[in-house]
This record gives sequence, structure tokens and C-alpha cells, in this order.
Amino acid sequence: MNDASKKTADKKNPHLIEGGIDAIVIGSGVDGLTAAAYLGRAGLRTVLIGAGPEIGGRIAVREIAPGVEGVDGEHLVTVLDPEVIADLELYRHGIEFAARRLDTTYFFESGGVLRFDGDLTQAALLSLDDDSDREALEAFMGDVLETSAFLRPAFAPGGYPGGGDAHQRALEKSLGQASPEMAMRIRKYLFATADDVLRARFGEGALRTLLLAETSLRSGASPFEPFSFMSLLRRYAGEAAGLQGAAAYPKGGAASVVTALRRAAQAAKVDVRAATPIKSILIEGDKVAGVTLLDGGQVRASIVIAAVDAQQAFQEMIGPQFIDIGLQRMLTARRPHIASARMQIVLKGVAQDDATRRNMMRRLVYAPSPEAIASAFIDARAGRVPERLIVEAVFPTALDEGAALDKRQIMSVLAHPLPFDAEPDAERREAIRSAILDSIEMFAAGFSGRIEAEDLRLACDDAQSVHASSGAYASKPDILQQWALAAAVSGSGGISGFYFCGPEAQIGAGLSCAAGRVAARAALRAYKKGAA
Amino acid sequence: MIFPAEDFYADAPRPTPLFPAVAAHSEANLWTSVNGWTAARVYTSTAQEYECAKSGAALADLGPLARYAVRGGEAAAFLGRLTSAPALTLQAGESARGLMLDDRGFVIDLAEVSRLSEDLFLLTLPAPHARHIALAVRGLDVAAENISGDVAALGVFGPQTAGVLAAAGLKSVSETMAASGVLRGVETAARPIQFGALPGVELIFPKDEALTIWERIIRRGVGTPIGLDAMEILRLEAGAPRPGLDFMPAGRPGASPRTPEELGLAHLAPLDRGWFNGRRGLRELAGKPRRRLRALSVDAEAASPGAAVFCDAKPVGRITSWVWSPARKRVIAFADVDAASRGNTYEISATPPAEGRLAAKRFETVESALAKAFAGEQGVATDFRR
Amino acid sequence: MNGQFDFLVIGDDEAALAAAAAAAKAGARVALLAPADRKKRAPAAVPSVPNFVWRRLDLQDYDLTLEPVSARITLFKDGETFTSHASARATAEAFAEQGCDDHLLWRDFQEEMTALCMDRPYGPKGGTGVKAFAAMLADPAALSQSARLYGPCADILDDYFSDPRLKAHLAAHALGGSGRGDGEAGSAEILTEFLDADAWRLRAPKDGTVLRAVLEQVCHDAGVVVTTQKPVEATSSGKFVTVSFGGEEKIRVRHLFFATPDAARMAGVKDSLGALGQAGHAAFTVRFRLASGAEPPCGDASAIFQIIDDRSELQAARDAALQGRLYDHLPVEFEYASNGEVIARSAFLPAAFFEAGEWRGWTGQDRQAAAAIIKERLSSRIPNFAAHIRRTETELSAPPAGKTVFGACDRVVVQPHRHNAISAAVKLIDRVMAGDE
Repeated sequence: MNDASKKTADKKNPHLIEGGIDAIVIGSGVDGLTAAAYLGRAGLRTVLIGAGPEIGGRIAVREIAPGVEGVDGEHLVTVLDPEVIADLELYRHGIEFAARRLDTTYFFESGGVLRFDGDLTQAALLSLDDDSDREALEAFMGDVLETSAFLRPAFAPGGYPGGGDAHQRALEKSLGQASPEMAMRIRKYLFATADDVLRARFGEGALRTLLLAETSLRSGASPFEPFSFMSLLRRYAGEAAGLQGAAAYPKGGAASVVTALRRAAQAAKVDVRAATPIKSILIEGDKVAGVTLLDGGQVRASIVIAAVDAQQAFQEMIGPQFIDIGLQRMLTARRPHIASARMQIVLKGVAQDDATRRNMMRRLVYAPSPEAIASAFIDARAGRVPERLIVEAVFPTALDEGAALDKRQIMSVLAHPLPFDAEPDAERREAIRSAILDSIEMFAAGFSGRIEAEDLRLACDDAQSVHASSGAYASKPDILQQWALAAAVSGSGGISGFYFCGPEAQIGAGLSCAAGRVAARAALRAYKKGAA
Repeated sequence: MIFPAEDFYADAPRPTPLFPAVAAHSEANLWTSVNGWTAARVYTSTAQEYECAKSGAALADLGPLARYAVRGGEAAAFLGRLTSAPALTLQAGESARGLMLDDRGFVIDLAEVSRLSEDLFLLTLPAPHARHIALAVRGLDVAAENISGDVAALGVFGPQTAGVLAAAGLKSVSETMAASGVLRGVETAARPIQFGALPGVELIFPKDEALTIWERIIRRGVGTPIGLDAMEILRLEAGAPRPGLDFMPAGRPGASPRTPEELGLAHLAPLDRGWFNGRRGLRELAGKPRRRLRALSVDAEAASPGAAVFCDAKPVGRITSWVWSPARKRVIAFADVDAASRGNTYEISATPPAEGRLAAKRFETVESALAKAFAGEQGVATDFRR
Repeated sequence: MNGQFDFLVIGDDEAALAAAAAAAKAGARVALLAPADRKKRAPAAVPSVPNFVWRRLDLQDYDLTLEPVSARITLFKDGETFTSHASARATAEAFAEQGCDDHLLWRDFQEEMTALCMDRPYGPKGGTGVKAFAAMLADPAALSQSARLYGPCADILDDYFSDPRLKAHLAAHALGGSGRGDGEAGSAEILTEFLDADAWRLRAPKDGTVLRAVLEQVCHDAGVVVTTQKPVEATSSGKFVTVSFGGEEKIRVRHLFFATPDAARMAGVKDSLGALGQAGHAAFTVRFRLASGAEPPCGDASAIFQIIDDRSELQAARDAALQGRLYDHLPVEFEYASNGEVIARSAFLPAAFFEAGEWRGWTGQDRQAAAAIIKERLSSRIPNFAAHIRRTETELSAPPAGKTVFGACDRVVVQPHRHNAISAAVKLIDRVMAGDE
């Protein structure tokens, strides 16, 4: 409606300069939609500009096989920020969880199987033989959940200029109430390797293997390296559907989160424009003045929030002449080595036995042996496809009645770790594909006979579809590097009126939206101060 | 041009390209090391050299300074980013002074930029800072080449500069325009330099031709070589801080960095002109100096670096560098004092074994006059093209 | 041996002796546990003895002269070499001569690494409490410092330099002794510490007194009780650890001190909070007695050499060691002892071997294989090396399998890997005495 008429107007007049707008949000992913919704609700005239043809960024619905639709991006919700859900009233806008508190079944290389209750506070490990293991697990989960909850402020994106001291005070206040025991524990968890921590607690048993797999899933740091245990704490610090550390499946997959956010943005009267690539961000004096579009037009506003990756936002849109030398060094310092891959597989037939049917209602994780995980990370970092991968699988068709197919199932798989390629050739794709299928075969025997169609999606494919830099969605390095980069991009961007909430501003992987919320709040604070 | 502090603990310095030429004129044979190059402290006598500079023309071996030849499509943007000099608006032949700041707005070093031609800039720094420049080059279409070792640099300054150059047959070298070209068969670049109120020119030529040009100039007997000690007097009279002595470049471990305002050089980094690295940080720090560098003239014959400075009987800072000024017949010094101390009279503790305090007064230097003018005309950008 | 001691220093390398003597001179009661079978061998280059240690131990009263190693040389394939020296100027000049474009950055690099090493906002040992943690999180500059310091050294090297030989040279010499790969977290810390002037090793001249002998004398004079008995059991209770030897001999100590990670590894102790990353490697030393007439590479017999083909080998060797297998192209460090022996050492060997799904310890066959690899590496760089060998001796420093005497103790202090090992060990024991650890 509005979009169409504006577009034709632009086409007639490519040098149109638009004014009267209070805020521009670049990037139509979940963080962009969140930020725009917050700004719109506060009464600012907001425009959301996305380069891709669809709204939603890398989370998109796509046809993965004739007549079958799958969702790219995320297949579970584990860290969706509860504040965002509450503030934007996302339940009212249509988020519904088809399955909450998903139990996880772990399959081991030795053939053993353990089931973990979805509610981590229960720490109920079913089919566990040894009672002492159970006690150790309870104690461990208690410690871990307590520490994760305590460290939530540390994992939240934060730190804006002008919020420097306040941010430190807030952090000190929330973290300062640690008992010496907790302080000791935090220091140990931070600097020790995940393997050391787990081995000290659980010896060489199955629990160590299970937790090693859980820690290293989606993380770019091998669990045999320092700072790796924090990935587990980060994962367990999040909430899904009100339960700490749990996993939930929304009705319609992650795409429904996007739909709800879009509805929230529209309810907040945000002007959402797709298929409008941006050429650069206008900077006048030390203030942001708006954006220029690729087709030559300009949109002027005094607030610009960038929800695209840092390389694009800083190096391409702002340009090296306007960013501090130190920030540029941080952006160019590291190359991504490791990435995850998604595969969506269409399977023929229905589950025959009860056990399989029950497993399809759970989250399945294949945990290779610790040596295999170590080798996998070694191989991935060296650029080779590992033999055994950690695999996480869910069945959208089983969890969500609305997505059920006739006599077919969809299995959505996340495999990790894989070497990151900016432009993988066909041979590499084939190697990745067969490695993933081999790993699935380890716990779902005979599965390859039932494959009707499969769709492999690598990190670079996600990036390409949203016109992001190729490394935007690679796995993140260890927590210290993530903290440093997040602080750099959200703190010292420093251009007045510019806020960043792209993937680098978020700690840990997963669909969170917290970065968008923090950026919007910072923008609103500055806006009110300026208007006052 | 400002020399950085000497390397007190360095290995034996390398000889500059002009070393064979100037060494012959050194009677005192007192050498030191600056940036790893030889630099003469005194040739004949400090007082004599100083007089020559004030009334005649002085010749300085400027080899130890760091020089970069900057080329490329975005050379102006690079220099505009790297230094606070107005590089983007420089025309061919113009020069400007500026400061190199780090991200937070602290001073890394002083900088001088000259545009020799459409596509060639000359950047002169007291110290190389290779890493900072390598980082600043990233992402821009520019090449910055360190030419310090490949060229001989001769500075001629003083009231009779023009005469000296004319006598040597280098009349086309102007005192106000930077240029490069072939001069008497030697590829030369020249740029104006300023030492306090004294005008001057720096000539740069390939090191193989060092002796030729030197001979040409020295043959007429008009200029005299000047050493670091005499230049120190000129520097303090002009009020220019010396990196490594009066302030530590930001990024050095263990020393507290300084903003331009704290060094009295706020006029070299105006916040409203063009963007430069560190401007955003500087905006937050501007107007809130914690310390100040003040030029004092002391009623004494000698002082010592590190001597305590008192204001209203309270210790407020220390002397960072001092020199006996023949013009004023007293000691002039730079003192790093607390910004809160106001007023014009201070006291300095006397050099042991003497006891007691010496009276000292602030005095106006060329730089402080510029700074005052800048502060007075807030918002009006003071242009430093020469 | 009976009694109560403040420290039981385990190991008798130079760093342990220096730390024991320093503590004893400061008034602590120190016992030193030396291995029983210490063969008399030509000494390798020793870590530098800084001035404060010299003064503390009054080393001027003993007849001791030490000369610094002249250069660090890396031997690449096909006779290519790369050299660096102790003085920044000499090194920059050497780089320029070798055609390395990065020589202008050398000084800035050293300064930045020193700065990185010096300010440690929050580390495994520094900055207690959560306040320091919060302060670090809130300060982007501190976070960036920590991230660089505790990250992989490959990132720092790639960020600074472009010449692959220079990067390989620095990585090989910095990480050679520690067995870490250059893509591993924690390797940057070792690189920053390696560039310190004190990280250059020293050597005694040909017929001069050996540092170890002098330090043993100093220990004796300071009242350190040296024993070579093998401990049988160690139990910790409260503030003390009770170590029993055979028979009725028991001692109670407040702290168990390992001055180097090698000593800790041999005793089966892992440093839990001290250094980053796991132990999990073994070090293998081979001494070759040569016939006279062998020419050292580059004609410099007082340098420390590294053999490496390509920088990626460091990480590949480390990966192989972590996976429990021997790597063919081991990075090897070697030097010429004052009596003409070649002492070759590699720390990129696995602590245990992983075969057929199980971990097993070192066997004689493994030692032979490792020695063969090292010999082959040396032969590939020194012409006619194999022909000149008269005798070979090997020494393996690997974590013992199974339970060890000290494995389960707490109150253990381990000095993480440092190039200036003596200085670090003495400082550490001072800190423990002052109660800061």
C-alpha cells in the first residue's frame, strides 16, 4: 500500500530526498524489526529499510522440495529475550509455541542413549544408572544455572557512548553482589577449558560427553580451549517460553517470530520497505544525517540504527574515513574459521514404533566421543570437513500440527563444526552433505533409505541471501573475543545518532532480539535528551 | 620542526645521509641518537649557533625525523583521517600542521603535511609510528612509504634563509610554497618549516646527492650548522612541546596520555573543521583538561628537569624541559602542572645542593599566542596554511 | 628427612634452584626434591638471570660468567634462514637485509607487546573479585586488550606483519618451548612475554662454571634441604601437605612448588588456574655427540635454532599431539652446547597415544620413533649431520600414566611457561610468601 506508492514515486524521481522522518533502521532481520517496533511505539516516525526481497533477514520460509516449505535460519528458540516479548506484546501479535520445554535425547557413539528433561532445574536424567552420577548432575546443574542467571547482565548487549560510566556502574551493581565463592567460580569457569571443568565434575563418563557436545554446539571455540565453558553458560542464561535454558518450538517455526515482530512494527506504524538496498550512511559533522539509497535517493533522519553485520555497516556504509582506526582494526582482525550448517530433509513414511514417535517430539542430539569432537574442531579449523559432527535435529512436522505433511516428515538438522568457506565449491558441499548424513546415520540407522529430498544451507548461503558479508553468520569465537568485538561495535562507533545492533552485538548464537532492544532504548534516551 | 626526545639507552646510532657532510663541521664532536640516527648536540657552541639562527641562517640536519611519501587516490582522505591537519583542502604547494590523535582523543604526535603536487603528499613526524600508519592505511586506496632512510633532509632557517638559498643558486625555492622538482640536476623537494617565529625551508634530496647540495650551500659561508641544544632554546622560546620529553605519546606503556588542550595545542585540532581520528573522543574530553603544559621563565641560572613546581605553596607539577635563554637572560622551562592552578606566578624548587625556591612567571610564546587567539575566537577555524 | 617446611620445591632445573634459594634467603624453610639420577651433561642455554635475582642470591660472590645467546635463527626449507637479535635495532636491520618489509614495524611491535604484557586488567591470576571482572566488561579498551592477550598469537602476527617468514620465525621461537600451536587461545600471552629482553637465554662459556652448579651451591649456602629420596605418598589436610618417604620419614609443607610446567608435568600435576589451556603434551630432548668438524648452520654456534617448514606446522603438530599421535614434521629447537654437542628438543609430542580407541602411554618404540624424527629433521637442515653422529641420548618428559604422588594434592603452585623462567619463578615464590596466591 504505502510501500508500493512510495516505490513508484522513487522511481519517477531517483534523487528524491525524503525528510520528516525521525529514525531509520537498516536491516529487516529480527533485530531490525525489534528496534523499529520499539522506536515506533515511542512515537517516532520510523522507516525500516531492508535490502532483501523479503522482510525477516536470514529467517525466511523457502521451498526446500516441491510442495514442501522449510524455514531457514533458526529451527528452535532458546534465547528469545523475554523483555522483548513483553514490551512488544508478541503473544498478542501471534507468537505461539507449539512445543515448549523440549526434552533432549542424546545419542552416543558407543550406542548409549540418555534423555534429559527439558526443564533443566529438574536435572532429571532419565535412564541413568548410577545414583552418584545423578547427584553430581544435580549439583552441577544447580551451580551452572545459578551462575548463568547471575551473569545475564554480562551476556546482554550493552555499552553505548554516554552510557560508559553508567554501564560500568550497572554491571558492577548487578555483578557486585557475588559471594566470594561465586566470584571464584566465575573466574574458574571463564579461564578454564570446558573439558577441564566437565572432567573434574564427571570424570570420563557419558555426562562429560553429553555436556561437551552441548557446550560446543554452534560455538566457534573448541571445548578444549580456554573460555569455552562460557558458551554453555550463555546458552543456559537464555530463556525460552519462560523457562531458563530450555528449548521451544514456535508454531510455524522461527518464521512466526518474524511475523509477530513485523505485526508489532506495523502496529507501531513503522514504514517497512523491502528490496531497497542502501549505498551509504550520510554523516555530517559528527552526526548521522540519514542514508543514501543505491538508486540515488536520500532518506534523512537524525537516528540511524544498523541491524546489518559490522563489516557492511562500518566498512561499506560508513566508510573507513569516518571510523576510528582502533575500531577498524578490531573489525579486520579475525577471520572466521568455523561455521554450522543446516540441512532440511524430507523423509518418506511415518514413524512405525512408539519409541521413534516419542523421539520425534523431542530435540535429538548426537554427541560424538570427546576425541572425535576434538578432532572435529581441529579439522574444521584447518579447513577440512570432519568425519563426525555434532548434530542437533528436530522434526517440525511432529512438533507442530499445523505443519504436518501427508505421509512425510521434515527433519531439520543443525551440524557443527564445519569449516567456513566464503565460496564453497560443489565438492565441498558434497563432502559436507555426506558428513552430515553419516553422522545422522550413527543414531538413526536406515535413515538414508527414507530420504526423499534434502536441502543443505551453509552460513555463506544465509549471508548471500540477505546481501550480508560472507562471514556474517559464521560461528562466533570464544567469549572474550565476542565481548571485545561487541563492546567495540556498540561502544566506539561513536557517531552521534548511530546505533549498531547487528550479529556482532549479540553474545552467543540464537534468535535473541536483545540487541535491537538495547539499541532502540539507547536511541530513545538520546532522542529525549536532544528534544529536551 | 620538532625533534623527539633522544634515545638515551639505544644502541649506537646510524649515521644520517648528511652525517659525513656535517661531521666535518663539528668542533665539539658531541653527538646523540634520535630515532636511531645520529644528531649533533653542539657543533661549535650553543650560544653561537643560537645567535646565528636568530640573526642569520642556520643549517640543521633534519635526517632523524620520520618522513612518509603518501600517494594514491585517497591520499588526502588518509591524511585527513590520520592527522588533524586540513589535508582535504590543501592545494598543491600548501602545507599545514596538525596532531596525530588516537581513538580516545589523546595526542600521539605532532604532524606536518605538505602537498607537493596533485598526487604526492609529504608527511613529517617526529617519530615513525609505523604501526599506527599501517593501521590507518587499511581500507583506503593509498600508499604511505617511509622515505626517512633514503633521503637527506637539510633545514635552513633564520631571517636570512632567502639570502642563503639565493647565494647557493636555489632561488626558485620559496619560503612559503612546498614543491618538488629537479633543482640543478638533483631531484629535490622543499617545504616551508617554522621554528617559532623564524621562517625556514626544508630541502629533501636523494641521499646520494647529499654532499652536492650541502657543498653548494656551505660554500658561500653564510649559514652555520646548528645542533640540538641550540634548537632546544628556539623550541622553548617558541613554546612547542617536545614528544617524549614534555609529553609521552599516547600508547606508550606506563605514561599518562595528554589531550591537545592539555599541551596548549588545541588550535591544531579544531573540532569543527573536518573529521580526523580521535575527534569523537576529543569532543568528550574537550574543555576538561586535567593538566596543562605552561611555559615559565625562571629567575635563575639553571634548573633541573623534574624539579617540583609550586603554586601558592602547593605542589602542582614538575618541570619537563628547561634551557638557558640568551635573549631573556633567564631560564625558560616547560612545566606540567595541574590544570586547576591558575595565575601567572609559580615557584620552582632549586637545584640541589642549593635549597629554597625560585620565582617563576608564565610567559607568552608563539604557540600560546596562537592558542589564545583560537580560544578567543571560538567557532572560527584558524587556518594554518603557510 | 623430617620436619616442617614452608615450601617443597620439586625439580632441580635452574628455575627451581633459583626460586628455592631466593625463598630460603628471605627466611622461609625450603626443601628441594631433586631426581635421584641426575646425569652429568653439558648444559643447555639457561633462562636469563635478571638483575634482581643476581642481587638476591648474591651471585657476584660466586665465580659465574654468562653470555647471552647471540641470535635466534629459524631454518626453513631449501637453506632459507631468518635471524633476529636481542637489540631492536640490530633485529630491524637484520630484517631489512633479509628483504622483510616489516622491519619498520618491529619497534612498534615490541612496544605494543610489552604494553599488552604489562597491563592485565583481569586475568587468571590478576585482579581479584567480581568488581575487576565488571570493570573489564564495561571498558571496551580493557576487553580488547584481554581478548588480544588471551587469544591466539596467529591473529596478532597476521594483523601486524605480512612477511610469512617473519611470522613463522616469531611463532616458532616463541611457542617452541611451550608446545602450543599458534591458533590456540593463550598463545598470544606467550608471544608477548617472549619479546621481552629478559627472554633471551644465557650460556656459560666453554670452561666456565655452570649456572646449575652455582645455584646448587647457593642453595646449600642458604640452607635449603636437598633430598633425592622418592616420595611415596602425599596427603593434604587443611593448611599443610604431608609428604611421606619410605620408612618413617615424613615432612609437612605449606606449599608444593613447581618452578616450570615441565617439572609439574613430570609429577603428573596440572596447573588448574594458572595458565591457559591444558597440559597434554610431552617434551622430548635428544643429545647428539658429534665428531668434530661439523659446521653449524649460518656459521653461528652460539645461536638458538628452530627447524620449521611452514608456520602452519606449529598448529598441525599441536593438533597431532592433542589427538595422540606423532607428527612427522616436528618443529625442533636445537642448539650447540659448549662442548660441541647438539641438544635438540621438541615440545610438540603427545602426552599419551590414542590408538584403536584407547589411550596408552609412551613405549620404547615411541621413543625411538620420536628420536628418529628429530634426527631426520636435523639432517634435513645440517648437511652431513647423520654422518657426524657418534652417540645419541634421549630424554622424555611426559606426564606419567595413572596415579601419581602429587596428582591429587591441592596447595600446589605451578609457574606457567615463561621464557624468562628464573625471573618468573622467583617472583612467583615471592608472591606466595607474601600471601598473594
